[in-house]
Amino acid sequence: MRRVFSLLIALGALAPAQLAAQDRSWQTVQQRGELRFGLDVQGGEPYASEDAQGRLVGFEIEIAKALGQTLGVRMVPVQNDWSALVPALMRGDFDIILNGFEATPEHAARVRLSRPYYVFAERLTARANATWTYTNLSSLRGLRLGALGNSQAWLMLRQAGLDPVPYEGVQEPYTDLAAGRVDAVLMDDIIADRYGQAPGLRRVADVATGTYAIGVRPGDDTLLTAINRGLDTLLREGHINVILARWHLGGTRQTTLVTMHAQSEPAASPKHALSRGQIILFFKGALVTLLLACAAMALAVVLGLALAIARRPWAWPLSGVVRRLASAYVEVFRGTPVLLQLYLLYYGLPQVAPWLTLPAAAAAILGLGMNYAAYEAEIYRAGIEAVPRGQWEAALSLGMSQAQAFRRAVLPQALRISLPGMANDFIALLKDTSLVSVITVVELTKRLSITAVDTSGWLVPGLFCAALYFAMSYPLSLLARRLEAGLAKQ
Amino acid sequence: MRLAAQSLALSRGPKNIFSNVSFTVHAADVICVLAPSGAGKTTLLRCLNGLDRAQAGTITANGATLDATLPAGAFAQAARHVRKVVGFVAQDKHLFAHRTALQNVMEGPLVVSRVPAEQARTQAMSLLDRLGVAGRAQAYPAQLSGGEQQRVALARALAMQPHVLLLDEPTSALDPKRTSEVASLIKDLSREGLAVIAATHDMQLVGELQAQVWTLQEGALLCAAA
Repeated sequence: MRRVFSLLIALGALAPAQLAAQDRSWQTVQQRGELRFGLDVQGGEPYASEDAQGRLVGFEIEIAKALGQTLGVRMVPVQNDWSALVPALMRGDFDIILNGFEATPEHAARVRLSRPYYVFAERLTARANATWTYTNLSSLRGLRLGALGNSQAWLMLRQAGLDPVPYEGVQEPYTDLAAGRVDAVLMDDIIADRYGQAPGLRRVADVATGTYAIGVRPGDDTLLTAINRGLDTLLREGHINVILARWHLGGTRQTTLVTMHAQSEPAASPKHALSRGQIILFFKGALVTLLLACAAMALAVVLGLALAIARRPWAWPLSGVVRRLASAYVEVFRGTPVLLQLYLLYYGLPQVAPWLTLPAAAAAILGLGMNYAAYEAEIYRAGIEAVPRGQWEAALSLGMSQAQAFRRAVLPQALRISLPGMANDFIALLKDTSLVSVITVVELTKRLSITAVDTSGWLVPGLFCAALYFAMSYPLSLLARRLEAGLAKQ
Repeated sequence: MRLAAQSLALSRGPKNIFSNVSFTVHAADVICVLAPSGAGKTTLLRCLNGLDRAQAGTITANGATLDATLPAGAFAQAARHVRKVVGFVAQDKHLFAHRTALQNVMEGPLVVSRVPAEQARTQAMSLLDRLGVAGRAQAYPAQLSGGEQQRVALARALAMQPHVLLLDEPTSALDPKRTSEVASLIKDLSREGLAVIAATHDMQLVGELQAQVWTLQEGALLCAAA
């Protein structure tokens, strides 16, 4: 009897637990005692950045701390790439997004947004000597525009039928603006105030306003309620205003925050399929990737061959110096990341030599080509060394010079031996073109990260993008294998 | 005088390959160098073609002197002058693997002598014909038999119209019938003035050539009339 009774008690205890299982998000956070918030330290001042001692500072760090105190939990920052904050939240890498997360319809379609904690303006910046005038977004047609990829500003420009250059960092758009690579930059005023104040640049207009809010996973209703409650307290008691004032972010615009509400319902339901227009854009991206790879490979082959020739032990005057220079080139370009080389070429070089302000596509081709030239040089070196010594000697015996023997007898055979390696390198290069999105080239992978925002997910566009890469690289892979088989037969 | 060597010496480590080698080769001379394997016949021929360097002595041909003491650049320069008149067919032939038999034979005249392509083709075809391999003109070296490769290599060297031809084991890939053919060809060529030095141990060839026989023994070259 007592057993039956205890069983009933146990069942009774289960029932409310099952009900709460529908959403235990806030309970889980409370039990854990810590709330993990995702942010990108690279976003920099004044959002969240590291001070000289490596401590996190910024107005959002202070808001996070104040929120934690109000809610009675410890706030734990989790570093994540800004453009991938939403997928990381969905994966469960952290509980909330708190990092310049704009309350856009696109974001509202994918995550739940808290009430806003900051009001910003979208600020248009141009070069001081610009001759055009701004009336509305359509008046910007024909200008090269820059914005943070997938930001509210970027989406606004695209909705106006414009084709802005997507940037990944906050400083680079203004660097490019000053250098003349773009004609105007549209960014949140916080960023414009910090990075868009360089001499030679001028503020044109504030074209819209927007808000920052905290992002929460759909379904985490209790957590969202708690956070809204916390923000409400902080706003009513003036804590947020104090923090904003300390960071010189206050102003009349922020006084409206107290009465603002969360963007309650998604503006549009998430759509997972790719539209016809998006598919066409993907094919365009694939074409850019292919053209980049071909142009970079052409450069790599020519430069690589020159390097391989320069590294031969010729008996010419100065050939010792040339040989050492060529070897140094190969070691340096193989020994440093191509991503770093692209950055230096695109953003670094104009600082020391303004006349070397390359357009993005040219910098991409040059950067990838120069990098791959180092690898091609090594392939050709191996190919040249694989040609039997007797082939050199047979040519010399006929009375040829070293150069003639090389050109007529050795090089054709060395290239033949090098072909499979070159095909393999081209496949690798095809995929490495995805790196040039950091210097604003919209190729296939960049197209993916743009579309992923539009379609509220990475899976469908990701698989489609992968299929396109595979469709380009697999025939090359077959070709490489055939070339290898052909060589083995000889 | 077509080719002269004066006091040539070469040793590898403690091993004396040859020393104090001196001789003079005149037009139409036919010489066979006889020696056991590994005695240094090949090395001697390679030195005469400037492919290897003796450690002492000089080689003179075509008004150029290969002096063992020359710096690398000057030696390469002199070697090119010497090779203009001294041809060399290695035992392994080393036909250009990426060119047909015909292209192999045309290569020297085209690149070195800058003969027009049509003329080079005609000359090459007649050489291949003379050596009995005209039918294989379009074949690549990998498709040729050892004997065919030997004859194409000979044609390639002859296309440069050398005064002296150095042959390393020219009949090693040939049967007795082909050996006789090559021997009679060499005799024909010598009648036209070509001097030939062949390193061999093929006694059939030596006999049919009625050549001077030199021997290389313990580093010393002994010259004797046939």
